[in-house]
Formats: sequence, C-alpha cells, structure tokens
Amino acid sequence: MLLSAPVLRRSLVRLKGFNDVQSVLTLDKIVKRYGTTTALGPVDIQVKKGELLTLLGPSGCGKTTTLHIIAGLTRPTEGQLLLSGRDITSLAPPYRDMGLVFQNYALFPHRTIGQNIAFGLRMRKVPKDEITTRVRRMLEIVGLPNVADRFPHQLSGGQRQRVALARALVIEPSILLLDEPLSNLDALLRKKMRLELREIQQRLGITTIFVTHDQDEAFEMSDRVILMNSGNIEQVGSPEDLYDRPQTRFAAQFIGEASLIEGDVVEREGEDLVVDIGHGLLVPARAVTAGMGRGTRAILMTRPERVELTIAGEDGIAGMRIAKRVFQGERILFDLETPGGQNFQCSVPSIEKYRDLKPGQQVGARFQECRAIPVSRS
Amino acid sequence: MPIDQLASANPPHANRAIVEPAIDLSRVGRLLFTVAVAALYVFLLAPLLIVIYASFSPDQANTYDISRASLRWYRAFLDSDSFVSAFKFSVMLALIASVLATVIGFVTAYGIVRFLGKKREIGRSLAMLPMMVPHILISLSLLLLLTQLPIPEMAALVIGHVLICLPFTIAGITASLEGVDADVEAAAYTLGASRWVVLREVTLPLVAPGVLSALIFAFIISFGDVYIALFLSGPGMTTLPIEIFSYIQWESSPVIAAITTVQIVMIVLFGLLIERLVGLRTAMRL
Repeated sequence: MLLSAPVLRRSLVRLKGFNDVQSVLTLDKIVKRYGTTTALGPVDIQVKKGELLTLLGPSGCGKTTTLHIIAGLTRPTEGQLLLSGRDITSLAPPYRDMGLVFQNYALFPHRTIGQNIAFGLRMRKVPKDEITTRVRRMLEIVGLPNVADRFPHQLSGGQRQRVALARALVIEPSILLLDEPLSNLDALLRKKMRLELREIQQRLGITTIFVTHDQDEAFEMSDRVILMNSGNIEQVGSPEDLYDRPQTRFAAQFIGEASLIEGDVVEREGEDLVVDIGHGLLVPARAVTAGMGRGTRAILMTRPERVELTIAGEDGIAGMRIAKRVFQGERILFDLETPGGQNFQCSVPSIEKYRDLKPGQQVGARFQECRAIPVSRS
Repeated sequence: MPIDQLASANPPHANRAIVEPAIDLSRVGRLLFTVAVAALYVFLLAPLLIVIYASFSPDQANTYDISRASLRWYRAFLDSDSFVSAFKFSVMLALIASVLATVIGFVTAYGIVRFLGKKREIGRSLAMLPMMVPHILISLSLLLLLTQLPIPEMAALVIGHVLICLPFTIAGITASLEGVDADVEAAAYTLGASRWVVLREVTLPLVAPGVLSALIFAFIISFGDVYIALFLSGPGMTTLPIEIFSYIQWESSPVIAAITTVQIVMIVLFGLLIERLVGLRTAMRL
C-alpha cells in the first residue's frame, strides 16, 4: 500500500539517476582487437562526474585507443559504452557530445580563431549572436581575448593549445577528452599549462579524461589515475595511492624511481611483514595487498629517498656493497648491492659523512616505508 | 586569407627551403654550368619559339623577314569551319573528361590516403600504372573491349580520356591530401560535423588548390591527346589534334603554326594559374 508500483519505479529511476551522477561514463568490458592481436582490454572504467581522470602509461599501452573509443573515432570489438546510462557504443562521433583536444591541436588552418571556436556551435545550429557571445566568453576564459581574427599559423604553440581547448569547451560537452595536450609545448610552458588546465577544469567543473605518458603531469593534475600497460589496466587510484602503494611490479617500476628486491615473507602481523632478502637479512615492510602470508615470495619496493645509508656502528642492515656512486651536487646517489646480488638505489644528502664513500666499500642500509608486492601479481 | 597563402600553408614540402649548392664550383666550372643550362633550355624551348615565329608568316613560307609579320594565318584558322568546330569539340571533350577524371581522382586519392593504411604505396603505384602504358596500347585495348559492349562512341572517347587523365589527377590530389592532417578532419567530426560536412567544410577547402590544378592538368592532357581520339572517335567527333594530323598529311601551311600558338598560349596561361595556386613543382610531384 505504501509503495505502489509506479512510486517504486519512480524512486528506482531517481536512484538510477543518482547512480548516473556518480558515474557519467562507463566502459563495460571494452575490447579492441586488430585481426587476432588484442590491442586493448577487456577494460572497465567508471568516470565520476566532475573529476579529472588520467589514463597514464607508456606508448602502446592502449590509452589513446581507449580515448578514441570514448570519442567514437575507434569502434570497440566488444563491450559497451554508457554515457549517463545511455548506450552510445555505436553512436557516431558527431552525436556524442564530447570535446576532444588533440596532441597537435588540429585547428582548421583555413579558418580564423573565432571561426575555429564557433565551428561546433555552428554545427549545433546555435543562433549567430549567441555564437558570437559564447566564442568571446570562451576566449576570455582561456586568456586570449584578442586573437579571434587571426589564423592558427599566426599563434604560438601555447596559444594554439588554448584555442584547441576553447574549441572543445565551447560546445559544453558532457566530457572533455585531452590527448597528450601538453606534449608539444616546451618544458616551461608545459608546467604553466598544467596548472592552468587544471584550474579551468575545476572552475567549469567539467568531467575530464586526460591521456598522458608523463607521470608528473598525471600526479599534478588528476583526481584519479588509471595506470595502463600493454592494453590492460594495471592499477586505479589517487596519485598518492599509485606512488605509495603500487600493486604490481610494473606499477612500482613505472612510477617514480623505485628499486625492487625479491625475498621471502618470514613473518606477518596484520599489514606488517618481515621479508628475508637472502643471507638472513631481514627487512620490515608493509603489504600492499592481502594474501601475503608466511612463506610466500614478495617484491620489496624501496625508493632512493626512503633508504638511509648507514656506516659502521649505526643501526642498519649491514653487508651491502657500494656498486656505484653518482655525485649529483646536492645529493649523492649510491647503487648498493645485497649479499644476494640484488641491486637497489639510495639517495643521501651531500654531507661529509657520505662524501668519501667509494665503490667496493661495505655499508649498511635502513629501509623506511618499504612496500611488499606479491610476486604472483607482477 | 588570400588563396596563395592558403596554398603555401598546405603543401607538405612548403618549408623545404632552397639551399645553397653543396659544392662550390670554380669560376670555369660555373661558366660551363651556365652554358650547359642555357643550352638545355634552348633545346627545350626552341621548337616552341620556331612555331610561334612561323605562325606570323605573311605567306606560305616558314621563314620570312620579321618586319613583314602578319596575322593572316590566325584569320585563316578562325575562318576554317573544320578547325573551329574541331577546336570547340576538343574543348568540350576536355572539359567533360577533366571534370570526371578530377572527381574520380579525388575519391580515389581520398581512399588511398585515408583508408589504405600500410598498403598506401601499393595503391598509389597501381593507380599510376596507366601512365606507364603507351597510350596507343590503352587505345587499342579499349577499342577491342568497346566493340564488344553497346557503348556509344562519344562515351567511349570520354572513357578513354578519363583513363589517361586519371593517373595525373590521382597523383596531384594525393599529394595535396597528404598535406591535410587527418586529425583536423577528426576534430571537425567530433565537433558535430557529419562526414559530408567535414568534406565540404574542411577537406575540400584545404585541398582546393590541388584539385583545381589537377583539373587543369587533366584538361591539358585530354586536349592534347592523339592516340585515344585516333582509335575511338567516330564521324562528327574530330578533335583538334586529329584535324591537324589529317590536314598536314595533305598540305602544309602556317595555319597549323597559328593553331599551335593559340594552344601554347592557353597552356602557358593554365601553367601560370597552377603556379599561382600550388606551385608547379608540388603539382608535378607524381
């Protein structure tokens, strides 16, 4: 009596609507095959409303293919693409309502900047004077109020990149897609544009998918990062998650400077493990995942700045041999070798205590915040 | 945007600057080089100059004192019904054939550049093949084929001319299309333009100079053809080259030189137009 069928249905619809707010775009088991080789997937991705989600990975990892599938430029072999709950898998790009910014900007060379930005609005049959106002407002947002009458070849790389962004944003797309938009800029401009892009994205609150191979970009700009490797998702998480708790050998190696040492888990208490890295040397570490019981193999991940170099008398694991020493000015980078012949790096401040250490000498090491990754998953 | 600026923005080799010669010639070497180049140009252009000179002859002779130059052979050309109607027919045929060859050439070139992927080179070579085959052989095989098929003679002639023009239009338009970034098309596509609108608003404007020069090339090739017309044209379908050909079998007069000069002027004008549009070097890149 209280919940009649129509009411129930309505509240379910409302509930579903609520879910859609949570996930604007869903990639459901998307696969792309060329002939018999699988280039991508199966991949599952949920994009939340208003977030900046980054697809990070080396070239050929499938990140651009994924972006092109979302834009509709590439057709997936299998799987479903849902935009706000609607199946758009076989919808052609003109009807998808996505704003794509290309790596080389792809501005129309025969059109002025104003005409470039107006293009999408013209295609949507927006009235002329509204087009004029919206183009002007967009140019102000990207900080180029006076270039409407110029041609793309008259602008600098950074300006062109902003125009490309304006052209994609002016149609108020449900999702903004960025395909390595910063990689054609010089280093200084790239850093500036990162902040600017992120600032515009947050101000407009637009859901954005960003493709890059540059982890610094990914870390600085993203709410969430999807790390991809040879067509599959390796790990999904916040930038901090990815840096601090890599789940696989690939994630550990791809992100930041990491040294990996293999060993056996000899003790486990909650998340805290003790790992034997050979010759009875025991290293404390934290497990990144469940299921790393006693007797299993583990990979220890350390970062150069998290290893402390110790010399005789100090509290550390002794028996490490200096394999290489690189003087970097402010810091000194040591390549150390365990008695078992595994190498790891250690970065110390350039102070007197460490300055005279030479390759071949025996030292100790103290590992801080060491992570343990299961071997089976790498 | 002025059209020449547009063109220079597109050709893929537009920014390949003319560089200093790699080897510095000695003074004697430079002199020899200049003489050789001059001789080459004389060899190339002298026959044209002789024809132009002969066309202004005051009488039947091919040599005369330049002060006695006259336009009588030009008048003779305009007064001759057979020459004038052959000229008109040739212009009409060349127009039809060149437009068809350009349209088909564009579609083919688009397919080669955008859809063949790694097989692009094979596609291009195959499309260039008719250029390697002597026209008389193309003509003969068309004749053999068309006698088996119920095709009107005019259509046969047009088909023949389209065939010999196609390699040139495909080559020219392919070169133009390669200068258009595929991402620019994709950008328009994602911004809401249908494929047809992308073609009309983005691709065609960007390759327009190349397409136009392909059209002019095709026109010139069709207009100057002898072999295809010789085998495939029927009664009442005499092209200008055929008319000239049959005329000089029986008599020789400077009227031929006058007609040739008209054609040379026409082609030079077309050449200048192409040069204006894309630069002759880009257009000739086969």
